[in-house]
Amino acid sequence: MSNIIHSLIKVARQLDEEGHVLSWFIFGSYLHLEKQAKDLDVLILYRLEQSPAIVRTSLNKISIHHPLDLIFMTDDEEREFDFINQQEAKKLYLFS
Amino acid sequence: MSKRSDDWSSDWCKDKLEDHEKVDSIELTDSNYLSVIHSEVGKLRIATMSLRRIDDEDLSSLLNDVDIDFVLNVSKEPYITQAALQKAEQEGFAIGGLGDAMRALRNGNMESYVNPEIHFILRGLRQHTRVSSVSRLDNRRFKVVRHGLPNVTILTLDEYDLTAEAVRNAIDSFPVFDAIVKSNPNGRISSKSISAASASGIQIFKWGELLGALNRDWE
Repeated sequence: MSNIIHSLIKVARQLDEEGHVLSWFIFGSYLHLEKQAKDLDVLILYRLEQSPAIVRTSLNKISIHHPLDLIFMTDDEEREFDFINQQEAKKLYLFS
Repeated sequence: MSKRSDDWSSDWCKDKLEDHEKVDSIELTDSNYLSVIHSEVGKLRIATMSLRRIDDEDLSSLLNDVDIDFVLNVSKEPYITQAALQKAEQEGFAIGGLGDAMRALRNGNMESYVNPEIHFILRGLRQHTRVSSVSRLDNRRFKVVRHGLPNVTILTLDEYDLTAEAVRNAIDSFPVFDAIVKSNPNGRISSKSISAASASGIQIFKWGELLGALNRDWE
């Protein structure tokens, strides 16, 4: 497991412990060609409107050291786009 | 020169670029500097950094009057000021992320590289019969001066699927603008993103919709 995924899991767990209701997924080229991937695509499902800003702040340090492409969706938006299914996104915790 | 906090970025970029099909060799020449031997155009110089916001002074302190072809910023989607964009244009280098650097290496045009999305937007707007001039206000906003109609400021987002959070984040992160244009022709716009924009008095257009709207008063 790469350092970037490890760091991401650490932040996700910390936010979980703080009571934020979030679901984290990885998708895109990183899943198939880690070395060639230009960035790491992360989908975060959230319920509260203020949650994405908290996540962005928590990921500031990681995003300086690695290009992160973050996409935030509510459950409704994810269903509207069928995003997880279409992108074959994987739950972040599967990589722990 | 004092040590920078992002001096690791040259190693990171070297690791990512060394297997590029057009790179014969790549070496660190100094902290935050790479020298690339391109298989077709020869020697290229890349400066590396990782900032969330890039101003002309950030470029001056990184470059210190050194002649380079490309500034590669590791952090994704930084805010790039108009002054920084103008400095790059005047001094003949490009600014971009890893994907931009890879495309520029493929084309062999690092110093004059323009991201394809930005190229498409500038060309499309400048060819519009109602538009008299277009200027970049920062990396995502464009001021459009129109014949016989008020000026408008648009912000472009190249998200595949446009979400409410992307809209709210753009409104929080960028100074004032009149409309968001989804520049990625693929993907969709969520109904919640339209509500989020509308709540702030901002319209969302797909590219074709913008071209039509430029013929009308937005008041």
